[in-house]
Amino acid sequence: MKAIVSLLAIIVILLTPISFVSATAEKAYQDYLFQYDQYRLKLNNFKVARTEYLKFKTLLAETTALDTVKSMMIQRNSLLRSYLLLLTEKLNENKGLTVIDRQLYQKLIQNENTFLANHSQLIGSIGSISDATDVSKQLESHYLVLYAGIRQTLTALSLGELMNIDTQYKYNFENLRKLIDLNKSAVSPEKQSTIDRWLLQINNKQNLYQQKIEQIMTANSQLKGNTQLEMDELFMTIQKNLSEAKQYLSEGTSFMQELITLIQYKD
Amino acid sequence: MIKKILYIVLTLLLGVWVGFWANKTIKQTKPSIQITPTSAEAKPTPSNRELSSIASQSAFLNARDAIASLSASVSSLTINDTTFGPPAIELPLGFADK
Repeated sequence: MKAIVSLLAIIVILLTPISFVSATAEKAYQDYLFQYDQYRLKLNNFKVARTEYLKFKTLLAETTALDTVKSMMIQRNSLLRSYLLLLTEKLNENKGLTVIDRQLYQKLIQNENTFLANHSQLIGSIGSISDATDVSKQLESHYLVLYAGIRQTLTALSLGELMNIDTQYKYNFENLRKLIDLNKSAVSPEKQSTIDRWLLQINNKQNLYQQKIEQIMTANSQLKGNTQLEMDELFMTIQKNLSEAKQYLSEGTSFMQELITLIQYKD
Repeated sequence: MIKKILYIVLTLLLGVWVGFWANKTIKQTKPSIQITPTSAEAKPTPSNRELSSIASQSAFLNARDAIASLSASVSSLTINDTTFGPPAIELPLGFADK
C-alpha cells in the first residue's frame, strides 16, 4: 500500500511541472480577465463616489471619493501589470520569434513593469484628491509610451507566428526542389519547364512575403503617435500588412500543393 | 339453354366486377412508393492518369503530407486576434473637469 502511494506521489510530482508550463499563458489570461472584472467594479464604485463628492462636497463624500479612487488606481495598476504578464507569457510561448527579438520585447515589457511598480508605490502615499490627480497624471503622461510598447509587442507576436510558418514554408520548398532535382530524368523536358516555372512562382511568393515582413518590422519599430487613436490607426495598417503577408504564404502553399499533384502523375 | 348462357354472362360480369373492385382496392391500400431523394454522393472520378515513378517514393509521400500540414497551419493562423487586445482604461480621474 505504501509503495503504491509513493508511486502515485512520484507520478504527480513528475507530471506537475509539465502541466504548469503548458498552462502558463492560459493562467495569465485567466488572471488578466479576473483583474479586468475587478477593475470595472472598482471603477464603477469610484465613479459613483466622485459624482457624490462633486455634487455635495461634503467631508464624508470626499473621504469616500479618496478611498475609492485609491482602490481604483491600485486595481488599474494591477490590471496593466497582469496584461504585461500575459504578453510576457505569450512571448515565451511564441515559437517563431528569434531569441534577440524575444529579449527585445521582454525588456520593453520589463521597463513598463518597473514604471508601474514605482507608480504603485506612489499610489500608496496618496493623502488627498489633489495627490490622486497628480499621481494619476504621471501614468497619463507615460501611457502613450506604454501603449506603443503593448502594440509593438502584439505585432511582434503576430510576426513570430508568421515567421514560424515561413520556416516551415522554406523547409518544404527546399524539400520539394530536392525531390524534383533527384527525379529530373523521369520527367519530360516540357513538364520540367512547367515545374521550373511553378517553382519560381512559389519562390516569388516567399520573396513578396519577406518584403512585406521587412516593411512591417520597420513600421513596428517606429510605431508612435500623439494619441491612442493615432496609434490604433497605425496598428490597423500593420495588421492589414500582416494579413497580406499571410496571404502570400497561403498562396505559395497552394501552389506547392498544385506542384505535388503535377509531379504525382505521368505526363 | 338461354338460361345457361345468361348464367355464364352473369358469372363473367360478376367476375369482371370482382376483379375490377379487387384491383381498385389493392391500389388504394397499397402504400405509395416514397421517392426518397438519394444524395448524390461525390465520388471521385476514376482517374485514368498513370502515377509517376516519383509518386511511390517515400520522399514524395513525406513532402505531400508536410505540405498538407503546412496548408492547415496557414489556414488556422489568426492575425487579428482581438482576445489579447490591450485593456480599455480610464485615465483622467475627472475631478478637475467637472
